[in-house]
Amino acid sequence: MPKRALVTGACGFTGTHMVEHLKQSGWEVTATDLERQAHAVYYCECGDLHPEYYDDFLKNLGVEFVPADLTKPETLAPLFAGRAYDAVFHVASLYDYFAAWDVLYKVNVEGTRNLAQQALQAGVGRFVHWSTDGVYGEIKNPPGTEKDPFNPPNLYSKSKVEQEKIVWELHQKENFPLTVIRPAPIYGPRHRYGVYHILYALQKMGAGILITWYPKKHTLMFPSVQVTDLVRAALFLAEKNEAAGQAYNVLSNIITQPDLMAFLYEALGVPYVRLPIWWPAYKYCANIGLEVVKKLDLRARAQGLRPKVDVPMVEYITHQYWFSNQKIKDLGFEFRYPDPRQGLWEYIAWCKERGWLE
Amino acid sequence: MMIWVWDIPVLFVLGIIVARLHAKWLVVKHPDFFVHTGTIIIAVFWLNALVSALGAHPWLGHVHALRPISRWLALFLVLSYPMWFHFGAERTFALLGRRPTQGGFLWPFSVKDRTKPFQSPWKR
Repeated sequence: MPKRALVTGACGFTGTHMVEHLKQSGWEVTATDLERQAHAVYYCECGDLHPEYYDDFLKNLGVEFVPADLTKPETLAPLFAGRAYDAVFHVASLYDYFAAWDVLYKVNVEGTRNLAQQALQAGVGRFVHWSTDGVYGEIKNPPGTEKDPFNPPNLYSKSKVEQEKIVWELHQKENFPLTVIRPAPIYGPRHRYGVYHILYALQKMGAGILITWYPKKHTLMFPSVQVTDLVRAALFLAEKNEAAGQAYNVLSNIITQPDLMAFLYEALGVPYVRLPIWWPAYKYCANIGLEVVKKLDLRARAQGLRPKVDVPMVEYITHQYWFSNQKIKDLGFEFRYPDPRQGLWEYIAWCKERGWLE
Repeated sequence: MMIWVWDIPVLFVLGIIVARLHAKWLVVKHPDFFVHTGTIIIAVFWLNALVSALGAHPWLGHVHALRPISRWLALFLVLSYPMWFHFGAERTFALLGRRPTQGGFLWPFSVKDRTKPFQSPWKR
């Protein structure tokens, strides 16, 4: 008898991949998400840079779709009525750096509490909770591991910390069968918010500077994960007994920012110049740049517009986000895209085919 | 030997203007505009320098200041004309973009995006 899974956020970028991977692995899937009109309430900005809604994709996969709103517990009950889930993959989240705290809290924190309580009562086999490696904030002693303390640098990551507190409390008090995954920035086909912004901005500028820092020990890193690896890791962990009650960072092998940028400039065909720079001078200039971006963010908000780049995305130019994926590797998981350049090459080609990049 | 003192700054400015015209309006329909126009401009300036060097300047000689300098320095400066044109053009491309879809290094520093949306090359 096939196993059954519930996937939340199933019409989003990662959700569609999770559903697809479960179907390919022989699972019965119940997919849930907001209905299209309700989704538009949260992502109302027009333009190319907000998450897409892929309900058509689910129809083509032929999975059962039950619409629900995490913020309304009464809409969650039908998800569990008459169905016993071997695993719940809680992918759904308001992933938007521009969103206000009250909206993030309502969707990400209260929504997760509502879902987790229903899942607990229904006696699900495993609850795989999607967090983020952003919960750690900047890493002082790299590489960061799952034992590092939380220090969220922005409202979205703060909402993920609050989410985690809720599910860990349920795990400790009620023996909730929990596994937490903390992915790095995700990319892959159908992705349009996050890593895509980097590619979009580089092509919009059409010229680049490749910065290398001296002394080299200050070299900044860039964590990322290809979506196929992420959903494979989620299913892998859901099926591992040892993963119950554990958290795992899910990311490809770390890459330095100069290596990544050199690759991106060449893959995108963007001409660039190299700029070796003394770390303190760079840090001073980068902090000024960050302040300018914050000012632009305020100006955009005052005009009722969305800035071209969200402030947390620019924090990568000053913060060290260097995490380890050793824990999940030690459990036996093998990445298909251990080098992010391999996955990004395919993703860039995918974007170009669709006119998302030139 | 005498050369026109404004040649180099004018070439730099012309590089800026031609680059902007090319990137903003002409690159898609007339992709060779920049090269053709640049070649013509450099040819005109070289011709002007040659006529000046021969001391038979028919139209600018007594209107604009001509400056006596060493022959080798003058030759070096005249040969460097394409570089100054290119220098002005490249700074403009870097700051403002090479295509209507690009905004250059100044792109992140404005709230509104005035560049055109991306399109697959085979749909242009």
